[in-house]
Amino acid sequence: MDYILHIGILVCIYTIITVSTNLLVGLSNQISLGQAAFLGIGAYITALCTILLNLSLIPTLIIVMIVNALLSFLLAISSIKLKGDFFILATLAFQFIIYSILYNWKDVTQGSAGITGIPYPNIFYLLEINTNLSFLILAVFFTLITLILFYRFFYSPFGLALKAMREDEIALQTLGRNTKNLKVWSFVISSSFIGWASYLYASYMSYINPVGFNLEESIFILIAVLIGGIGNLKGSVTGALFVILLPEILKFVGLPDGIAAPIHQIIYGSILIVLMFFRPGGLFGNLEFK
Amino acid sequence: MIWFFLSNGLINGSLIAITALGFAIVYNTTRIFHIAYAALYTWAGYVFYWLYVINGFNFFLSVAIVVVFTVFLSILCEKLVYQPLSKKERSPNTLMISSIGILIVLVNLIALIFGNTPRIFPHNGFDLSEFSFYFISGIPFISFIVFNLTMILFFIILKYSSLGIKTRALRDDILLSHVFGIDTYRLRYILFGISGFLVAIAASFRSLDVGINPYVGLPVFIYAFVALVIGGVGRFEGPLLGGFILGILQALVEYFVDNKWVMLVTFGILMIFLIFRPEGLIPERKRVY
Repeated sequence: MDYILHIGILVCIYTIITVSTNLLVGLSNQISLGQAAFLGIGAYITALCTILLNLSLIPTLIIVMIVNALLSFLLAISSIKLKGDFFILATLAFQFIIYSILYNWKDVTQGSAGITGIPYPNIFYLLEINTNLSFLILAVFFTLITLILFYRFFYSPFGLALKAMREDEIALQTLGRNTKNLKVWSFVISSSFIGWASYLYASYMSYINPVGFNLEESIFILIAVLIGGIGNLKGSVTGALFVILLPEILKFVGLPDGIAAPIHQIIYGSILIVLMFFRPGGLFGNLEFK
Repeated sequence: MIWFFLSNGLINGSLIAITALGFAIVYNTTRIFHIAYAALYTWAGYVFYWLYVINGFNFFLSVAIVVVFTVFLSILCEKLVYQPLSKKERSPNTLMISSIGILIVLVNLIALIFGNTPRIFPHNGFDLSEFSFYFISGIPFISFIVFNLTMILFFIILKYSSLGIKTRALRDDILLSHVFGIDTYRLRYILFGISGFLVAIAASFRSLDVGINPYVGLPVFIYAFVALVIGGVGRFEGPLLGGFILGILQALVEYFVDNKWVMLVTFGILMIFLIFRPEGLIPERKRVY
């Protein structure tokens, strides 16, 4: 039973990540290889806030969102004029800078040893969430809020403007929309919601280390979004379910550990190549990659 | 002591330059973000290990086989993935994602076959380790010379052969060179082959020095791309200059600050370049028609 709860919590965390990344990659068509960096920043801020300052759920969440939003705002305004590969490279550079800081700033992050003993979340010190079941309820609650909010985003004037921007940026500019603002905002919204996922991740795992937030993790997030489908919430949920459930299903086949991990990766990679041939928007994607 | 670091910087710089050149010959001409290049590096290193250490082949014979194999693998990437996708007129991002797919598949095949443990080359038979030049031990010095000779050869071909002229034409304008009767898809095979050749040389000599593990390719590729951006996308002198600058800079950071901040400084400089000078040190000169 605990195992199913564990899977459920992971699916919820990854759903929040893929849904918020989908806004960036899918709707506003900015491929980011720096999503794991935001996840890492959020997780470390959560750890510091809860261990050192003993803050409860809501203040921590607000701090995490503000920090992520500020950093993504800085990254976005400095790199928004870059096109295509260079934008990806800027997010990649951000990813490596953050990883390097998390790994080497030993006074604060304790380096490769990681931070242990992150407490379970509590709501204003009244209600402590200390069982897997209650944590799952919290995670589902967060996920539902994210899904509803992003559903509203996708069909709001903002989301529609993003869709228009990915079709034809110059046309949208001639209609008087500031496309630069749209890009910055989609970046900020996406990474602040990743803060929610990182809060759940850190407080559920109760142990974080920098290796969990490296480039491979960023690529993994991108794979989850792309497999599900871009520009579409159904796709994001499917993608998160797929990347979490596939290793668990393959566990029952009984592969030894050393072989299982490369095999998952090979499956993801092959799916990615095949998708780019036949459905470049992903499984449920109704938009094509630009 | 600083001379030791500087010479190390030059050697690392030549590695970065040769890998950056191998990437640039694909990227500057076809605009494919060829991340699978990292996997080619890993495969070249492992095939070299398999031939030279496990099967005990002659050194030169193993390098030759590695070169042929990597060229073949590189052309296979183009043949099976990039070219069909290009003919379907898929966007550059789609090509990049498919390249990430190739990278993941190839690297994990290596992990599946050889395991995750790093492999180190024992110096049997063709022993370079006794040779040394001032304070540089043998293998890095030899690889420095080999890398530079290879790059000189590359630039001679680029400058004087008809292949080089076609390559520069493709770099300047793909559509126009097609109009003027260059078989662009056939030329792309050759370019991917040259890219494979350069990465095979880089990987075999480098892994002889520092050993190899399945995940070694991606950092090498990323430094190569950073060098390309610093030097300037477009002209082929860019990655060369960028590679040496990056290598020496990393050595200086190691000497004056600390080894662990090399990555931070490298990507910090990349960010500065992206923000203030995205065209790089040697910008592409566009002719106005």
